[in-house]
Amino acid sequence: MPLDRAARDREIEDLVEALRPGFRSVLKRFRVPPPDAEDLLQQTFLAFLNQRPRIRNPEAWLTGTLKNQCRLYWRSRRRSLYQAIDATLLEELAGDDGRNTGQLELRHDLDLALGHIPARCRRLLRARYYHGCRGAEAARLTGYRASGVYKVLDRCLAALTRQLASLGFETGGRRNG
Amino acid sequence: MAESFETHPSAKQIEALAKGTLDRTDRRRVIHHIMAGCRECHAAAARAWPFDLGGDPPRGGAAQETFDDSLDETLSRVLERVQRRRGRVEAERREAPHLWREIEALRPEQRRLLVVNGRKFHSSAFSYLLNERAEAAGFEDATVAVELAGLAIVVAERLDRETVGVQAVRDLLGHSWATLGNARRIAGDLDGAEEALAIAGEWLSQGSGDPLEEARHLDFVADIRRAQRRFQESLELRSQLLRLYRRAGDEHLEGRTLVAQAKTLDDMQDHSAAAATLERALPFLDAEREPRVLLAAYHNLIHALNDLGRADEAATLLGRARPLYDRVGGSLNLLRLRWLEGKIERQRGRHLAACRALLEVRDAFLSRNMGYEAALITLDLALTHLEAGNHAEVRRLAIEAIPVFESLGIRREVLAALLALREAAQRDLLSATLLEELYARANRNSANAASSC
Repeated sequence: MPLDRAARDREIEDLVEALRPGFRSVLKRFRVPPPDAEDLLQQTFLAFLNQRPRIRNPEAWLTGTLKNQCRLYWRSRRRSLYQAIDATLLEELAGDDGRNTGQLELRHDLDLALGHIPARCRRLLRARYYHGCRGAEAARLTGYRASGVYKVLDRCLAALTRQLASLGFETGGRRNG
Repeated sequence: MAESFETHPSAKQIEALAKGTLDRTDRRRVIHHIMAGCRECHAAAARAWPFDLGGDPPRGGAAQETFDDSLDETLSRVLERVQRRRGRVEAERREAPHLWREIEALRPEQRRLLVVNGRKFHSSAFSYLLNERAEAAGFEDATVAVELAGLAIVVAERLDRETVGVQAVRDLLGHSWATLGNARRIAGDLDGAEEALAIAGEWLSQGSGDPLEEARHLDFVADIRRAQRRFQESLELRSQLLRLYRRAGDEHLEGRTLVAQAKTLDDMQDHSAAAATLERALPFLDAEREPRVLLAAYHNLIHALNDLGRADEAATLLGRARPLYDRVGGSLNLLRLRWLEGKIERQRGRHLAACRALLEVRDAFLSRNMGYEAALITLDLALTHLEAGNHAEVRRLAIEAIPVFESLGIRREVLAALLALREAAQRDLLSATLLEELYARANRNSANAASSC
């Protein structure tokens, strides 16, 4: 049954009121920083406005969408991090002739990190950083399908990043701390 | 480069690296520093970086202690902005049907020209309405469905992302590409459908995370897998969908998914599982919300019961469902009802009544140039005559059918089935088993055809 005007005016306010504790618990559980939480809530409600005629259960929809927003938020943050690390390694190791001290050190550190990730990922990332092989060529060298190599690359960059953030390889690193 | 390692990067810099907001020099410095094995900075990175790949939040992360206080203020600000936008969205929703009436009677190229150039058409409500029209057209004319879905994309691409919301626009693009994928599937263009659904998936993955959009996309992909005869994959996708709808608390959509699952089971020739699944679906379906889906459930269940040899049960159920056929209407649905009546009569051994119904429906489909359906009914008729011991009639039917269906340009596989029928009739090798096999072969290739019931 269509909502009358007054009910429509109240609907979002009532929903916000009813869902406030639920929103708080989702945002805390996902540890979304407050400034970013505002954006996620706003995007959720804007999508809600557009989809309203198709939504049967607003409470479940809003909570489900906010949870998905939080997951997508972290996914996008992870991707930014992988891209930053990947871009830096590609830039720094480009034209590595084995004589530049900085590149030698970086290569040493990278080798240590690569030593702790799965062998197929190691091959793929070595091909990428040391031999300049991208996309289809890297897939061919490492035995992955060309169509799926970008997803694999994402997983391998994730493994490398996790390794960088862990203490697993620090014993061989050049300690700074 | 060694100088860059002398001092620790700040916690803010380590966090900014993960956000992608660090400039190139600092980014290089932080990465070199961490890679060199700084224990302190590893710990800071472990806290600040979202490296957990399971989709769950990172341990530690941003400070949350002030969160409780700030959430109330945040929600107030969001509410204010959303209420401002709501008035505009509702006005656009009221306007959309009028805009549709302006272009409804025009030719496709005229429609497109007007929509591309007229700013008044560029609203999300109008794009959603075009999507609805495209979906409805899919039951009658797949070409129109493809055209309207394309138009919905044109509108979505022209929306002001600032006002509508970046993610809401991506949702709409995903929604419209999914509609196009489904329309292409109905039109028999499976490669095009696959491509459109892949694009839809890309948009949705960057959208709001709307669970209903995700489910709709899954639903269409499951339909394609069924059309590709990748039945197991189709069934697995439907199981995922059932979980999604259960979580969302939407029983009708749960029932709708069961109806689609039963169709796949039917294609796999598992009529008994199909019937059981349809019986499970019926109590979930909301007749007010989508009477067409309820009708499909009844129609397919009656069909399955009849195929299982439970013709009396099928006839009783058909009696109960008859008002629904009248209510949903549509001449095609009524023709399919009559076809089903003919099949039930045959199963009950009432060959004369069966032939009368089947001939009536075959002529009606032929007059609409719907050769595929008419060819299947011809096979039904042949089976009925054969069971009645009327071999001469089967021969005549087979011989007369070929030129008619050739002229209608029906699918190669269906024509092949008819040719095999003629050959068997001429050699006196006809049997019910052979006819049923030919029927199944012709029907197997119907997976891409639109079916309303």
